[in-house]
Amino acid sequence: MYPKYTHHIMEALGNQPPTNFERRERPLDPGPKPPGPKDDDAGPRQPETGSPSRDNLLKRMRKVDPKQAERYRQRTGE
Amino acid sequence: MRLFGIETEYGIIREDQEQSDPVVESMELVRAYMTEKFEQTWDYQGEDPHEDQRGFRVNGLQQDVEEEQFATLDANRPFSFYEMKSDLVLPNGARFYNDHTHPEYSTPECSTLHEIIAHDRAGERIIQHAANARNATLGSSSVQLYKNNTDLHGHSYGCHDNYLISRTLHFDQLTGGLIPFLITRQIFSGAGKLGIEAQEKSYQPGVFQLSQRADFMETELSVDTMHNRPILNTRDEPHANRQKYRRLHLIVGDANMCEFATALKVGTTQLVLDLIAKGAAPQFELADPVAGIKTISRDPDLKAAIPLKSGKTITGLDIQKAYLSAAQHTFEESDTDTNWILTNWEMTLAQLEHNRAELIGRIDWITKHWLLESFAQEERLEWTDPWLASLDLEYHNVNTERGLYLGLEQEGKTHRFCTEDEIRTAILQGPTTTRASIRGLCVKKFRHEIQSVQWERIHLKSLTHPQQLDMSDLFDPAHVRQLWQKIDNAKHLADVVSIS
Repeated sequence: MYPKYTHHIMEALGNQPPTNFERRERPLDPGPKPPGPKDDDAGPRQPETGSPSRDNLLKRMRKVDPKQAERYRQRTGE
Repeated sequence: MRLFGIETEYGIIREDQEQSDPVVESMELVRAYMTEKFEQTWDYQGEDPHEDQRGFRVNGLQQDVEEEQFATLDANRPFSFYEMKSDLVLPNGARFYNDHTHPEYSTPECSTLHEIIAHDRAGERIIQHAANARNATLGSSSVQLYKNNTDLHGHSYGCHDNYLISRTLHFDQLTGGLIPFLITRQIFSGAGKLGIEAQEKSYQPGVFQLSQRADFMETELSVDTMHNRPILNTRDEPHANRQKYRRLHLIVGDANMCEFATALKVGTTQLVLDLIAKGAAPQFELADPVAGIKTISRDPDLKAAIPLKSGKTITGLDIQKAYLSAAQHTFEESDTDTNWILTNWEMTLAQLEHNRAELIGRIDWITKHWLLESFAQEERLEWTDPWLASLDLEYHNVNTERGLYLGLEQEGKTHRFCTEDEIRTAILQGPTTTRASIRGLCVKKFRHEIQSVQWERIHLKSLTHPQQLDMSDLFDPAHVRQLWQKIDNAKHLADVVSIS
C-alpha cells in the first residue's frame, strides 16, 4: 500500500510503482563534449534544426496569450 | 559528508479571476494534495530568521513591518495561522506548504547529485499533481504554477540552495571565497529573463538577462530575504547541532528547469565550499559585487568585465575558470560526483566561450534565449514585444501541456540527468543516505504517534513524558540505514526512540 499522501499520485502515474527503492549507483552522464566533430551516440542533444519543431513546440508557443505576462502578478516572496 | 537541499517557491495564478487571493490559493493548492483532514504537524519552535551567522541576533528584519501588515489582514480570515501555512511533511521527507503566499516545496536533504535532481523534479510533479486536483475541484484548468523567480513587475520569490557545513569554518572565510563565485555562477545557472526590474519598481522590456534574480540583489551580506536581499544570506538556522554545523542558505540563485543546470549549480557550489574549507579557493577583491552581479546578468555575450579593487577588471568567465582550476588541482581523482562536476564545469565553460548552441537543453538562459529568438524571427517580433515576455513566463509553467521547457523535454531536446523511475521513487521515499528517509518513514508508518516534525527532530505524542527523535547529529549514512531498519521493524515509534 502507498502512504496516504501519495496513493492518489500513484494512480495518476498509472499505478506503476518504482521498480527499486534502494539507492542505485549508475554511471553519471559524461557531459557535453568539447567543441569538435559530433558523434551520433554521445554528447548534447542539440536540436536537429535551427528552430523549435514547427509541429509541436511552435504550436505551443503560438497558443501563449501575448498578454499573459502583463496580467501575471505575484506578491514578493523570499 | 555532503548534504544539500533546495527550497522552491512557485508562482501561482487563477486564470479565471481578475484578482485571486494568493494566501487562499496557495493554501488550497497544498491541501489539494491531501486526502484527509489537515492536522498541524510542523514544529515552528526553533525557527528564528533573526539569528545571524556573524554572531549576533538582529532585532528586526526589513520585512517585519510588511509581515505585520499581512498578519493583521490574515487575522480577519476564517483560518488559523497553522491552517494558512498548511504545512505538510511528505513521505519522501520533503516539506510542502504555503510560504508567504507562494506554495513552496523543500526537497528532503540529499547527499548526491542524482538524489537532488530526482527530488527537485519530484517537487515539480507533486505540485502539478496538487494543481490538477485543485483544478478538478474548480471544474476548470485555471490554476497554473510557475517554477521561476519573478512576476516581471518587480516582485521576486526565491529558490534557495542549502548546504550543511562545519561550524569550524568561520563565516568571514566564506564571504571572501564565495561572493565572487556566487555572482558569476549565473553564467551556467541563470534561468534567463527578458527585461530589467528592481524591487517593486517598473519593468523595462527588451533586454535579455542571464538571471531572474540578479536585479533583486541589493547588498553583499544580510540576514534579510524579502527586502534588501543579499548575495550571501547570513541567516543562522543550522537545522542541526548548532555547536558543530552551519547551514549555508543561499537566496541568490534562480529556479532551474534544466536538470543539468541544477546539477552544475549545486555541484560547483559544493566544490567551492570544499575549496574554502581547505583554504584553496581563489581570492578576488571585487570593487562592487552588487553592481557586478547585474553587469554580468545583462551581458549574454559574456564579454563584460567587472572592476576589482586593484583597478583591474575581470570577466565572469575568467572568475569561473579560476575556481575551476583551483578545484581541478585540489580534487584530482575523487568521488563520482566530484569527477562529474569537474568534467562538466570545464566542458560548460568551454562551450559558453566557443559553441553555446551545444548547451541548449542544458543551460536555461541559453535554451530560453534560443526559443525566444526563434519565435521572434518566425513572427517578426521586436525583443520589446510583450508576447516574448509571456513566452518567458510560460517557459517555467510546470503544466506538462503548456510549459515550454516541458514541451522541449517531451520532444527529447533536453538533457536528462535522472530517469523517470528515479523521479517516481523520489516522490515516495527520501534519500536512503540521509535523515530524510527516517523522517519520511516515520510519517508513513507512525503518523498517528507523531506530535510534530522539524528538520532535525520528531516529537512523539505522549501522555507521560515528552519524547523526541533527535536527528541533529544524524549524518553518517551507515547510522541512517541502521536507524531506518530499526524503525521499519518496530511496532511503535516510541519503542525505537526510547532506546536510540
